[in-house]
Amino acid sequence: MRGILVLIKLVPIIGCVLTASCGRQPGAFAVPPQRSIDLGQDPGGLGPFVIMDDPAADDYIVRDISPGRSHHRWAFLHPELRFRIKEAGYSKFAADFAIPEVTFKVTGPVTVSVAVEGRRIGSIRCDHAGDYLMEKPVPAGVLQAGKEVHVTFEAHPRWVSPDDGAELSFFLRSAGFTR
Amino acid sequence: MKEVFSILFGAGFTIAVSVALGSLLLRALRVRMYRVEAALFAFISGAGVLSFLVTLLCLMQQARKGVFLWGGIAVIGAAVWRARVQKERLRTLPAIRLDWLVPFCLLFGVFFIYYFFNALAPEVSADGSGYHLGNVLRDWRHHGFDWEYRSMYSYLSQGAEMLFLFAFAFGRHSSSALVHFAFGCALPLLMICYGRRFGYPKAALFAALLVFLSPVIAKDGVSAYNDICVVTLVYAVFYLLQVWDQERSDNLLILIGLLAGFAYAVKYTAALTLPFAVAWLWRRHSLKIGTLARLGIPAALLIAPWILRNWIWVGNPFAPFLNAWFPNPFYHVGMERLYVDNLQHYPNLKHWWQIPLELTLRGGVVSGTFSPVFLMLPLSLIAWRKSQVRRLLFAAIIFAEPALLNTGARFLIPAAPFAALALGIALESVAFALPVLAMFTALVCWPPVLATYCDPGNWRIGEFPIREALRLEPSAPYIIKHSPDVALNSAIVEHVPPGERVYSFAGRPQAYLDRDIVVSYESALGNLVQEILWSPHGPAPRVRERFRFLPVTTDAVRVVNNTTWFNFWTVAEMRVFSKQKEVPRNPAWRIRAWPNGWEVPLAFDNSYATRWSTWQGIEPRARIEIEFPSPQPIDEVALECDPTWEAHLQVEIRMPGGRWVPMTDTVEYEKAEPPPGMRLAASRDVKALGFRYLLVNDGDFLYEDLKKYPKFWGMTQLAEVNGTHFYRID
Repeated sequence: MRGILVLIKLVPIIGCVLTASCGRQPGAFAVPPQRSIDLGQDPGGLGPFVIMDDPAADDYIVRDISPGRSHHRWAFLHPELRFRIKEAGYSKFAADFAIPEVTFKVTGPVTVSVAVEGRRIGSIRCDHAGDYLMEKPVPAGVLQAGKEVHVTFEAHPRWVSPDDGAELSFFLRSAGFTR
Repeated sequence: MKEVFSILFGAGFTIAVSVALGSLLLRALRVRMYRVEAALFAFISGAGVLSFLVTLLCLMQQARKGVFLWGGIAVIGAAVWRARVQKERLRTLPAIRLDWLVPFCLLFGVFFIYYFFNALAPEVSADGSGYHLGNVLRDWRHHGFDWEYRSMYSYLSQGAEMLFLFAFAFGRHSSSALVHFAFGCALPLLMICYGRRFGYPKAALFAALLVFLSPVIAKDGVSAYNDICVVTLVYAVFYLLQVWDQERSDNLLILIGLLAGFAYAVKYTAALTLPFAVAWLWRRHSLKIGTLARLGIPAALLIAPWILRNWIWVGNPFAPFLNAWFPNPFYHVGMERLYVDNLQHYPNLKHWWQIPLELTLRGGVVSGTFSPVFLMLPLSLIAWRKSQVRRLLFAAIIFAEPALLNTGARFLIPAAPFAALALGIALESVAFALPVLAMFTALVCWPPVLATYCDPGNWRIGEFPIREALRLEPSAPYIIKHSPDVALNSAIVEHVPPGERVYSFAGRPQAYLDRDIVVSYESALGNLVQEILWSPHGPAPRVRERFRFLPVTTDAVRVVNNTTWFNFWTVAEMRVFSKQKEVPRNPAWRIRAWPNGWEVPLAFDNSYATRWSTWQGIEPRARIEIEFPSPQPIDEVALECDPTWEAHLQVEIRMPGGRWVPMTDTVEYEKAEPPPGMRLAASRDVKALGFRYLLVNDGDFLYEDLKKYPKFWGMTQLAEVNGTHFYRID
């Protein structure tokens, strides 16, 4: 009985000791320095222009352009890309591509044409192997801010693989709309 | 072989210093013991004293090899000198029959060799190479506690780790494991002493084998864990209480108190030992102040360093638990609850009846097995009339309680010696029962045999790495085979400057990594970094909660919750408006929140990658508040968040008299898209917290996105080993 009384006497003391720091709160803080929210794009957010080794390049490809993250990518049978123009002011389409020596030897001169939203806007004749820059004006009204724009290429003739019949058009470096 | 010598010296020296300290203590207390008992209690109690002294050295940042070496030599010298000056003639315990002793020694010896080489091999156990020796390595680097490193595992009491640290100074990781193994060997010997003293030698031999051979006890014992240290201490306290019953020596109470305190210092779950001793004394003897003081003061001496350390360091004497009682900025209440809930539940358990079979035969669900003979434990009730059996079973029940908090078989280890001894006493009158069951245990617990019937995931000794143990093979491939992350250490050392930390979603073998790792679930900081890294895919605010009210001028406004729910309440940004224009944030504003007020600036930093969270289930009065430097006209408060739909929020303003007045509890939900560039924002905010390096597993939530869009994260992979990727934030 005496032992219980001793324990009972000790309980408040132990309780006080143990709970002395209970409810400790940090008080008030000043507003911290403000962070910038202008940090650029996320993948999946299409822009007006794409470079083939950009990490988001795959999002621009609709079909017939080789996957991976190479400096240049192969355009196959009917290559197609998509873009999004966020504001007005874009009036030209530009594409940077190459005709490799190895395919040119077989095909000879190649004509590459380009269409925006199904409307042909121009072509370029490639009469030697090497790099080409195609730059064509885009007719007014074709590009609308905020809407997705599809661009298709056609090359003629194309190199055909003797092994599996795969067709290669050209080597694409970059493409898109410029002001 | 030089390395093996260092390892053996480290462990042997630690044990020798413990025995020396213990023998000095026992002499000072003039406790009457039998010869073998005295040696065992000298080791166990001396280990407690040594652990306490190393703790003090760690608190003073003086845990150094030289201090250990010369201090240890001095202690051994003092003990030898004292033994020569004061020669004692110790009594011997009643002898054991040779036809019992010889088979016991044979079985014990064979298993001892198997276990010994496992303990001597490079330490590769999960928790051992993770946090037990991770803490030791950190203490070793800092010559004491690292006050800057905050992990839930570093807050746990480290009584065993203090012994490991002493051994580590001489023989590194394996020395520490061998010190734990020494406790594993002391326990069965202590059980035999108990049997000899109290008249149950045959039952004690059987029980000692049952315990020593049980696979989970063996695996734990050869690893740098602390459970075997705990069970040895718990059993020692029980043993001494029985001795005290016979002798009523006051000094014995001091020894009991010291061991009970040491048990707490080794592991929180052993906190039961002290109340058990108090209850025992109360039941057997009226409890007087003197009795309590003799028991309580030595116990408090060994417990106090850990309680005080955590109280001062973390603000919570019992960290990482009881955070709701002792709120602190270092470990979240909700995280504690998730952690405890997770430990309390059996994964993949279809029926409760599986548990006995899991604990004795399968081991996959409970991570370990005891001897299948424990299935016969109900038979111990045959001997219920014997007071000894009742006491043992009572102790078994009490010390099995921690298993309610953690489903791992390890947490039943403290109950095992009591249960085994009770079973032994119950069956000792049945002809041949004990030898047959002991042989059966030896057969089914022999590691290669065990592997044929237990679950592949059963935590057990799975090999006999004698060449690695003797360092005839290099240690690195063996360590990397068991802990593949260790292969990243060279890349980490190459890229991460000393003193800089690496963030990881998963736990890592920190005992083998030369930079500190901050793990996602181990601290409030880890939680915060995880939340930030997840923000582009989950927690980023998708909704704006708008509270509009009639224009009012006030010097403070707050949003208060009025309901209870188990989900957390989070706010990425809190903004106030007047006439549809945001009131510009002002450094003179004072912002507060409850609970988890420490993180309230995250709701006012204009970053959608960070957010304030209650980090516990919401309850009435949870709030987030702004105090303006002067009265400010406002008519709207907006919370940009991932809404807690169950919360019932209302906006209140402070009146000139200081009274809070509700303005509205009507909320309009508006869809909001986080701004682009969230990945970069997350990287930026993680970097701002001091992390430039990350370890990410293939299976981590973040990995697929990080692999696909490293440039959008602004990160570069520096190395990859076995599915673990080492990234730098550029």
